Amino acid sequence: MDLDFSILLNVWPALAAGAATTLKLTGAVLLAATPFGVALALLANSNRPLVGASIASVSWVMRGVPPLLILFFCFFGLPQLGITLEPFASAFLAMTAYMAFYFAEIFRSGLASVPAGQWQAARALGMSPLRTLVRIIIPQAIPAALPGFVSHATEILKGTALSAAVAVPELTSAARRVFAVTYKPFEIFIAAAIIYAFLDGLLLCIQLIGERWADRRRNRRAG
Amino acid sequence: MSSPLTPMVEVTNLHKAYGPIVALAGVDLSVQPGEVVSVIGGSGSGKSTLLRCINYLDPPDQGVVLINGNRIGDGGPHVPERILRKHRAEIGMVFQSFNLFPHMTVLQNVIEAPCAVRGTPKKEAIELAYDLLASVGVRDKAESFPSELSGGQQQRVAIARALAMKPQVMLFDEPTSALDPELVGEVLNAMKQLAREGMTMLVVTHEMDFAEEVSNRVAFFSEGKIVEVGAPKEVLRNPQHPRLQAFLSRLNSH
Amino acid sequence: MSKLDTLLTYAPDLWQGFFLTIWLTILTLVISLPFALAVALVRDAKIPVAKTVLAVFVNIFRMLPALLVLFFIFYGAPSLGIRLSPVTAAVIGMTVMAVAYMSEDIRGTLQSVDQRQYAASKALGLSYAHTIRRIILPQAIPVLIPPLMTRAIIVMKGTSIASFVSVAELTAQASRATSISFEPFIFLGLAGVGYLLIAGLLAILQFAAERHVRRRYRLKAGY
Repeated sequence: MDLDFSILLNVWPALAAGAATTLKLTGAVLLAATPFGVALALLANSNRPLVGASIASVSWVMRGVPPLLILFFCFFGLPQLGITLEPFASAFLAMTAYMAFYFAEIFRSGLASVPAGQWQAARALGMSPLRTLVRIIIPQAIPAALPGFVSHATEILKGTALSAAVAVPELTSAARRVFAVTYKPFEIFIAAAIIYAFLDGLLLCIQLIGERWADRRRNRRAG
Repeated sequence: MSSPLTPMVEVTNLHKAYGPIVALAGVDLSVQPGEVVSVIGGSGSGKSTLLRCINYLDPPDQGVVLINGNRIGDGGPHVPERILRKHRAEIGMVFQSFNLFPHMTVLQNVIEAPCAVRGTPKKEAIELAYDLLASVGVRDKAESFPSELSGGQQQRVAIARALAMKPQVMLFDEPTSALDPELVGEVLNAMKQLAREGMTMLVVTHEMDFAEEVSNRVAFFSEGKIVEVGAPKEVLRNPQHPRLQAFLSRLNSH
Repeated sequence: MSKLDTLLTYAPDLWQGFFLTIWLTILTLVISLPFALAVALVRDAKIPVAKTVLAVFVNIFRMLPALLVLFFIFYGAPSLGIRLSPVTAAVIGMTVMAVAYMSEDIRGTLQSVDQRQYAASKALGLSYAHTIRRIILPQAIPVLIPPLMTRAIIVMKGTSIASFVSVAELTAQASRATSISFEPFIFLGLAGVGYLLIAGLLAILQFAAERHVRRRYRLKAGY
């Protein structure tokens, strides 16, 4: 087996295009699923039992079923409801849907990690629930939720590969297409792996920045 | 049988540091067979580290440890585990946090090492275990799990477990510090009995009454060194070293 | 063709896919567990060269999409002169990924066992191997059950990836039936039910295992 990495010089545009799509999809899902996840986390703690129960059931289904199945469900199912989406959009919708529930779990435990005494103190001071949430609770929940958040963000990155099933031109399928032309599996797929590692590193940077931001805020308040 | 002149434990110039923190700064100590030496001193003064270096749970950075005249290791920094295990079979250790194996019954805790290390047949080990458990007063708990025992009972089981290996010396690392006050006595009694039977013991403790009553010698540890050592009455009633005087007055004033 | 007829036509395929999914899941779990244990123990024992090699292996595979790994194996094997059947390639790919993640689960659990148990065992003269086998592992196993069960469900969901190399597991059968019959809700829905059923069985297995272990070691709650 002799490796000839020079073919990468010819094919890198195809891989780069795939990487760009992967990045776009990851970013879009991340941006959309996060607020939905927050909303779901808040709703899950609601006092009305029906709301909590239905969210829990949908969450169990969304997390218990292969993402690929959910992807197919959106891709094949939505047109039957009259909504026709192009591949990227339906992948985006499917991934946002199930990731929102994973994020909800992370945010829920982040919120739960804030001592109940904080709520009580804010109430005693006459603060409204919304203000309490935004100014007191969420800032304290963020450091606890950060590692889980980033690891799920990494899952989004890896999950984009599945959208190949609905012909989204992301990195993994781009690599397969390039392989089909060049018949050099190791060089191509290793290159793709390196790109994924790089994108992973970007997410890790976000985690480091986030941790530093959280530290600085904590120190500022203490000092 | 060692001659009366060969110490059971002899440490010379022991040094041990954990990063920037110096735990042992040149410790010399010699314990004769059948002797009971109590080691006292403030927290963090290195007393526990001394015990852990003697059975190489933490290898010393520098210095020599002799067990019954046999040197542990040959001067090199790394001593093979095989050789250490042989030495550890002769050294019994009782920990502050008992460290019983929670998933095994009391009896299983006691027979585990003799069977695995000395190859003692199971029936023989069980008989020995029952005898030891009886001698420390927990024979009736043999089939119980550690979580079902009080702290004092667990520690006595720990003593029996260490004794099951028939060690030549017993190291006690603050054996009663983690116990409720009313449970301390039963453990100290077990240790006193062991001393009466002639076991060589090195005991790190805060129990000054025990130290005075049972020890042949008391050593005071401060900042990584033994700064005063001698007969209990001398060391505890007539301290010479200023830091020992301060330590004892702090203890007595509470 | 009525909906019922459509269902009956493709139901046998789905049924087969269901069992293939179960088979793939079990096979992957059974093969990967001993390897994951070995990797975790070697890294925990800090054996010089091996621990670094394994650390690199584990971290690389945790960064990559499972699909990329699958393609690497499936398309790369012929270059090494090995012809792999799709099922074999899928099982190898899933096993490699499972070993990488599972070994981390196990390693974390090993380190969560009270480190003082090692000290007590060492002081008694017990060897490292004996300590691991008789003292540490029995204490780690009860704690390992939840994370390993989570991992089992992830493996189950991961079997859907095999559809990319033409393995006729549940998702593949369901999407094939859907694309022919245009009944996404029936077939993808049924597939979803199938996966949730397997997840339910795993949950029952977890419950039974935890009860057995608690009884065997007579552990009190919160141990």
